[in-house]
Amino acid sequence: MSGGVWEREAERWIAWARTPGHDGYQSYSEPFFAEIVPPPGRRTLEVGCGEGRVARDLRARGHDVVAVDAVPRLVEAARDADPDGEYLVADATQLPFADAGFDLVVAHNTLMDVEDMPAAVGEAARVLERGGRIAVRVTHPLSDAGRFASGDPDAPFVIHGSYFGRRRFEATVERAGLTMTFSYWTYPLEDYVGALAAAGLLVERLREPRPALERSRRQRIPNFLDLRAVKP
Amino acid sequence: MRLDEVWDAQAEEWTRFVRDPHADRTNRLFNLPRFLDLLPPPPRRALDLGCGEGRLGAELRRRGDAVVGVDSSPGMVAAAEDRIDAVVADAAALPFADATFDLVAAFMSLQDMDDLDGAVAEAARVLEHGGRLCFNVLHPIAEAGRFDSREPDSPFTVRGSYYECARVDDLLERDGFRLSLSRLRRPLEAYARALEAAGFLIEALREPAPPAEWLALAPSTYRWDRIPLFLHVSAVRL
Repeated sequence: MSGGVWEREAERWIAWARTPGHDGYQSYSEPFFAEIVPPPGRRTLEVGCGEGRVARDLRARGHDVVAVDAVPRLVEAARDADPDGEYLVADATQLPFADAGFDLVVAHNTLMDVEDMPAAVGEAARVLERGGRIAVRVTHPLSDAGRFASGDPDAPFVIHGSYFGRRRFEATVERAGLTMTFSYWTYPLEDYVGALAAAGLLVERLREPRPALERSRRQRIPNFLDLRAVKP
Repeated sequence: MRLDEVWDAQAEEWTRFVRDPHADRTNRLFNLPRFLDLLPPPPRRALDLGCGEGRLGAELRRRGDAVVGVDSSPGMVAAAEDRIDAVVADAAALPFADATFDLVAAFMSLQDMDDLDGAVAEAARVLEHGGRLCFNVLHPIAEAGRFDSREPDSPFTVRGSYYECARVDDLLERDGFRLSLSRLRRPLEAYARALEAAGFLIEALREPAPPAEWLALAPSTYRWDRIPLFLHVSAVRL
């Protein structure tokens, strides 16, 4: 979501993300860290860290992390949860770092939340050294294009509108007493790969991860798209 | 019948269809011109992988590439030889030395290969460093579902699983032609894994928008203004 939406949702997001087992993060983080995030290198930048759970997991895996987000309340929450970590308020399209300062940039469910996605990808490429990598997770373009007809595991998934072009995705979800409004930009697959290519980044790995839960509808329709790209 | 047997059996009918000036319009107006836009500029030393009756190879030759085609079907190779040099071969066991080509073009052919990983690995082997594999297939999203009706604004519904790898046999019966458009559907990840295992990096990926003149062919064609029909990929072997 763009800064304004996340500012409004910040408190609800902190509750949503920090209630154990509440959202899909635990179900899906294992394939992201196992397959998309390389082993710790010199210095890792996380863009769009939110309340910090990905940065905390990166640090737990030995990464030397700098994490940024545009929303001051979320950066404050990230610092509170991890006082030894390095968390900064920054705009993904104007990163306050010199060229080639990192060997890894992590953008976990971030690119949908910036107004200028290609510019954010360009900035990630700029701060990467040659041979450096970007680890990206986004909501899957197929998933965002339509909706399930019901809550059944075998419910049809229906696309009424268009898959093409940049579109706004809006959904309010209530679960176990918590409510969250998601509002972000969704793109076709070619826009993501196009932004990477325009920034000089080549895709070396692509995954469409499935959750651990067997009977999930997400065994049929992917929830996320994971990409790892390298700066040659 | 195995996939390769289906296509060999219909080589003559397929050749008649592709070469009919009024038929194969999706290819002529939409898929082929968009694919040519993806390719590195000529002149190339090109392999037309799964050349069929030679519709792509002929275009590569026209634009100045040195082309040779391979197909597993003797019937297809016989037809292709009208237009390009072509040999019968298995894509997973190519009869060429390492680094023979700087371009491997697989036009709507990887979806007809049982051994995708083997074909992509062989493509890497016969490419020089810096060479490219450019391919297109029916888009995995298009293959995952169906339109509910032929209305232009018809919903597109996925009832099964996007992830399923499965044989598809669509009968095309139109204008005196009868063809089985048999292929394998696979999710995007299957193609990405094959590329990665063979040492390719994806430098371009397109979901081409249909041109107005193709959309205008019939009211039902407008449905494809909303759902991607083709996936086009350019991958480089570093």
